[in-house]
Amino acid sequence: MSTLERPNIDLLSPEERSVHFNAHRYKTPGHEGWPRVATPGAPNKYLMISADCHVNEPPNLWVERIEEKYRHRLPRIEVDADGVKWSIVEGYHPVKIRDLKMEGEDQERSKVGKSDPAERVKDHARDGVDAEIIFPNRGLQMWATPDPLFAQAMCRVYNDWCWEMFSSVYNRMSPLACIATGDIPSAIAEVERIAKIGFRGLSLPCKPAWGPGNSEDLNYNLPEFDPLWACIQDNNLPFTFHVSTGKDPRAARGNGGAVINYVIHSLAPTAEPIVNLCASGVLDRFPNLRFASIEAGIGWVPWALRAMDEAYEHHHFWAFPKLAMLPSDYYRKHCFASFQEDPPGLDLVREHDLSNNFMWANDYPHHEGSWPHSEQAIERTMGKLNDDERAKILGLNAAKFFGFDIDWLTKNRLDV
Amino acid sequence: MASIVVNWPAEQNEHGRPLLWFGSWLQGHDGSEGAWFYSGHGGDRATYAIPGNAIGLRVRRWPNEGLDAEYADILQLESVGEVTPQALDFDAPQPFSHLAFDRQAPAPKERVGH
Repeated sequence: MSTLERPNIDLLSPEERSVHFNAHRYKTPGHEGWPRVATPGAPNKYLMISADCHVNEPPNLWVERIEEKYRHRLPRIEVDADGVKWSIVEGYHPVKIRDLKMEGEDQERSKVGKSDPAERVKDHARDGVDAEIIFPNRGLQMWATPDPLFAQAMCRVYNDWCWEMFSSVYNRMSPLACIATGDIPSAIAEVERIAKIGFRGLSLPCKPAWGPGNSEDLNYNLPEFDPLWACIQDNNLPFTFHVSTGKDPRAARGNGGAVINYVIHSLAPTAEPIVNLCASGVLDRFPNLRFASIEAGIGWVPWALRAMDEAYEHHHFWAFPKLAMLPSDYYRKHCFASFQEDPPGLDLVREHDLSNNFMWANDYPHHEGSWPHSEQAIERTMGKLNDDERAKILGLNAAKFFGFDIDWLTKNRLDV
Repeated sequence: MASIVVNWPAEQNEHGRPLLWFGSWLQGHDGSEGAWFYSGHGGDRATYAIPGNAIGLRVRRWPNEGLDAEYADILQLESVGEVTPQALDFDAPQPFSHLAFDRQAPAPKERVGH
């Protein structure tokens, strides 16, 4: 639909607005000629592992379980002298509470995503998903504090809770353990603890020190992190960097703020830890590390690989340490990236030899994801890939990265 | 030992489900908290012994489970006797507010997004 054909949004009811903005989700060119498909319940369906889903934590999770000394610092709503309500999180700007009215399938998405495995299984079967990696929802705020020990305390609460919820179904629904990395000894202690419990991987913040960042901050390129990398490598744990976990993603205000914040302050900063690890020699010292960016899309990856190599070669007089390979080679060997719908990124998969590195996700239950219309989203965006490339990107790469049992998942397909 | 009665109401939240309540003791003059004594969906009336170091109590509630807790503080417990949480003013500034700006100053610029 061209701009001229767009209706006047202000004249639409909430129900009509929901229909209008969700109409694109139903569009599909179909899957004619595909040997395998993304259709829920189809006998020739691809193995589909969503590398990025979320769980809604109980509202009283952290207030009940956190150490007493931290309880009064947990996120809460404050009221100002004018009666205006603000969401207060230590590391975020105050955010005014808005009375959002959702309708239609927007409302449906806002009601799912709970921690009941039986409910989640039904939702995944409906979308063709065989297994999922689970990240927090409100818990993404756990890293939003300049105090890494407070962050670690919140992470411990989340880790214990999600293991209680999902350990019995972990071969299909796998939350990753969340680790705050601003205090390295406590990070190592938590990695050791959760490795013994049995988690299959880790979620680290995009930056160890919360905030907009400066050159004095600890960061993942520095040798101070070698003990943590050694611990992670010894425990054979893949680790991830989810969007919006290094700094306040609500950095812009006013006109266009929602779009600016999503693109620039939420998604784009996720490239930083990836470049830190590929450019700094960490992967020469720890050759068995494997890691992924989550929810940041993939279109930027070919650009970032070229930019890293350009800097390493053209600025060779400034670039140190000298590496055994080009930074882009480390990326292809060690790094993965999740995305939901990213046509430009998918267009570049073959040309840039990245079919082994990308992982599809439906981002259930978030609105920027494709649930419950992943079949249509996949058909819209993956028609240029061949069957082998689609199979890897839809599930086999995630199975390899996170260590899912492909045979078990194949034998235990979900009924629609 | 002094005690206080709390009559936790059974109400519905914005989603039409039972409203979640949480009670904890305030023990520091910076708004820090001690132990918690209630976490549930109401319909309970209970008597709680007031810890010696408590300077008040904090009641949290979640009208919208997609948001963080609203709360109200009660100080000077000796004069209260019985608390009815639904009568507390959750729409008023609280004594240990974390709003970083001076309430007399303009509000912070509104930010929106992901």
